[in-house]
Amino acid sequence: MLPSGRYVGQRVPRWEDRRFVEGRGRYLDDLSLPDQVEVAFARSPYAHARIRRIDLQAARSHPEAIGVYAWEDLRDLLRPYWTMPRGPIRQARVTPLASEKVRWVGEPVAVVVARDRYVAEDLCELVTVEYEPLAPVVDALEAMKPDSPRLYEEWPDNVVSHQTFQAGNPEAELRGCAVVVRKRFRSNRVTAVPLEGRGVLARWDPREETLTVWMGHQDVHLARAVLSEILGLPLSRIRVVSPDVGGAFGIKLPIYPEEMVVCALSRLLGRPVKWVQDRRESLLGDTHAREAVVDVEAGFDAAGKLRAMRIHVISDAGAYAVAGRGPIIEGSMLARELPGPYDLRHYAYTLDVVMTNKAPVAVYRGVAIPVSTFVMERVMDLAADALQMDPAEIRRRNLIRTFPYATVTGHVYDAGQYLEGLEKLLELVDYGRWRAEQARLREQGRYLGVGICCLVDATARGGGFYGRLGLKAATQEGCILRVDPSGGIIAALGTTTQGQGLHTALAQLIADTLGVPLERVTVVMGDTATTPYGGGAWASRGAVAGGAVALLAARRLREKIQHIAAHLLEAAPEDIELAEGRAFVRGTTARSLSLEEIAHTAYFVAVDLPARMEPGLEVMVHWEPEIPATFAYTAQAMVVEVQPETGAVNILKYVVVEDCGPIINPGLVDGQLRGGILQGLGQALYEDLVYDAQGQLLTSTLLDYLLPGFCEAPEVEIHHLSTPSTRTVGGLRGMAESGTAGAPAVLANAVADALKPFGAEVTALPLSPARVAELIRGQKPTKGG
Amino acid sequence: MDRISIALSVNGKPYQLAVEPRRLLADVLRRDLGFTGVHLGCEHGVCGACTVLLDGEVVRSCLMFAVQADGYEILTVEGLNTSGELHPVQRAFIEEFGFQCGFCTPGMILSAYRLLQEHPNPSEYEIRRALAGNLCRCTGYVDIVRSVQRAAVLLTQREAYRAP
Ligand code: FES
Ligand code: FES
Repeated sequence: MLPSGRYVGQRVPRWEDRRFVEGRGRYLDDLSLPDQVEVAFARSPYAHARIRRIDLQAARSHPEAIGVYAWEDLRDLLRPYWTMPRGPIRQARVTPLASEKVRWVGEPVAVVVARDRYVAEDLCELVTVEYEPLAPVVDALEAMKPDSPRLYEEWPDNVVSHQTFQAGNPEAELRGCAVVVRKRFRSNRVTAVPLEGRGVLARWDPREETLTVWMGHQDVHLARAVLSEILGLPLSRIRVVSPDVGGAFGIKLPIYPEEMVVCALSRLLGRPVKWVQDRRESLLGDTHAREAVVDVEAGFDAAGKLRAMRIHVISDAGAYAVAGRGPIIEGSMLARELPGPYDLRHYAYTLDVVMTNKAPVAVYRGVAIPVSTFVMERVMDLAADALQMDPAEIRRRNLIRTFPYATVTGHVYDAGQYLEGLEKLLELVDYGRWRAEQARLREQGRYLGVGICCLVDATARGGGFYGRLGLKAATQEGCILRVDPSGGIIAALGTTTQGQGLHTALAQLIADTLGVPLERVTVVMGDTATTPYGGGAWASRGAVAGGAVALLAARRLREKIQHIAAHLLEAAPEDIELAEGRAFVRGTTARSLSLEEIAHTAYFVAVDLPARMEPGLEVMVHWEPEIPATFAYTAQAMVVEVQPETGAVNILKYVVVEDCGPIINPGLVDGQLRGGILQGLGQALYEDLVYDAQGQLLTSTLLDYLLPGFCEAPEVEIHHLSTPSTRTVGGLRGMAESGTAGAPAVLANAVADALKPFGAEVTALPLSPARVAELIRGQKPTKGG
Repeated sequence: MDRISIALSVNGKPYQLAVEPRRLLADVLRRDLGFTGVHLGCEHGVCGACTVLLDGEVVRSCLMFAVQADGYEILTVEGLNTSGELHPVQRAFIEEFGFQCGFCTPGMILSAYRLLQEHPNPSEYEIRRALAGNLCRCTGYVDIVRSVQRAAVLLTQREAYRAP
């Protein structure tokens, strides 16, 4: 269980905040080094082309050029890489700058070094590349056809991974079903758009032959491992530091070509080199996500019980694998986790991960779950329609009720209150009243819709997945916890933060366990030189894995403190209580020692310690969640009104019931949920990376790629359930992604419900006003729905 | 490229400098003068992270050349706390969890500061409208709205306290 005390469970304000409101954050671009130079990249204007010739002469001979390079010039400094060296995946050799071919618009081809970015960009104009354009492959379904042009000529087709799975006998079961939903669903390509773009500052020290790399990154240890491989430098010679990170949401988890090149250039030039992305580069080339076509056959019996499901997932992976996260993660998670919180025994999937001439796809908050939930929850509603059953009722009949529950694809849900969560949700949203209101308003030609969704999100994944694919993504987490000789407490963790407030959450756990004021605890993260090996911030693992090691370390240290205090105060260790930064003998206030006095003994007067006790007050703990991690449950409900004339969707009410187990800081949990929900709504309503037939990205500014703003953000009522996980320390479950994961589904269901009188079919995202208007066009509403 | 001499006042302090005509005000403030509270989120006028006040009016410093700001008074978020004590708007953002990564925060705070000068007691609608040019990718905005509401209360209290 979580410790009880002054802080855990409280809405404690974040101690890291002061510098942010004063403009004194230290984001990547706030760092500069003496003698630093900056780079800009010359990028491919074609989606698919052979490189005939690269002419760098004009740029090189310019007096302001410090260096101009193509792949040929860097090949001794950088190694081509293969992401995901193992697993059911074809290999493609990737070079950080394009070598023979370009495969997406925006792919870096050459790099220019100059005194600053202004000049470097000028000089990029002088780089001439002769291309032989090839037919681009823009659509995944087209790309799968046998006569489609191939991105990798040595491959027989564009499919990078083909996987199948079957449990039970879905085919036979489907034949006996009362209702079979057969549909094709499509989900849009989006990207995370953290407000701070990517960037990197690298400094090679020629005397020590070490490389220090600063970049806003989610996993400094992974970054170091990948860079070590690509630069051919031992791990010990590289230090990666992640300063304050201005949002990341998954896209700052891979290592991109630009980062590799900047590191190599610093080594080549022997001076600090910096690159900071602009927004166009971010939309073009940060990893994209979510684009998929899912064909579904789902069979239900007359009572509404889901009997069997067969799906085909076609996941559009873009042109490359990125280093650190490969192209099959999104598709395989989508296929494996689609059944979500529902009981299902007969299930089969086929997965095709397809390469196209678009930017690479990797992970973005929630990874596949926003899409799997969208598909599954639409299926539930469509089946309910066919059976003339209420959408809430069909979910009641299918939600898992007994735990632990082993899913058909091999996960174990340890504990949960799925049904209770749904009932609570219906009560909070006042479901019955809105249904009545809906009927009443329909008579007046107003179109309200009520949507619900339920989902399970796998968080804080354990090893056995990434490790076996050959990726160096640590799923364990490490913490070094130290009471220093002055009685101050320093916790160094392998994880990182990108703005979630993790410093404070971890400090809360430690402060309560050791009975000290929060201000005494300093949490250090994001520097490979000062933190133990760990896995970084992804898959909602900050609190689960970070919290676990912080707790375990604090408990170990508490025990040691109790033993020392007991020895010095001549009491039994069980009778020592820690509070207010002191160790008391239970029941008296007269006999106590301050933490400082105990630390003084541990460090400077070790002869006074209990026999055979190690000097010092420091522990190191590593912990890894069991496979398959832990699972957070969320149920969401939404009421919308759709304007048939404009297609606009207006959110009238939004309620979320979430279960992330015990809560360390409700302020942080609610913040994560609200932020995640808004990103999910962005995907559901506005965001769409649109490519034309030539593979040109048409949405490369924030004027075309629309993010939700103040006027689009709904109030969200949040209700917490707290079912402790039986598989994590403190019972914690992650929750940073469940808002994002549910928003597209609940919105789609609400809009579909509103559009029922028009007979409109909602099977694709985003539901932009234009799309909604198109769904309605020409349809006369039927009375009463 | 030829440089042009300009004079700026930033947070009450005068600066004389020579800049290329194409140099953005944002880059001059950030890079040349060290006001790193001016953030760049898009460089095309959509996100509001680079917001500063120019003679008291909200502008986006990524959409202006520094030469255009010649002779103007500029306020950046660094200028709000001159007494060593956080400005009420800054405090309110901390108390109400008005941000996560903090990247949008300087722009939000300056837009809120300006709004509250004009409307000491804004409605939720007015807050949302006044800040509509500032994007946040982390919070879902609701906590920012609450922060501005809280700032309004704190500012009123401060005024009341100051009144004789
Ligand atoms: S950086 Fe100026 S508005 Fe985005
Ligand atoms: S707090 Fe991260 S962008 Fe607003």
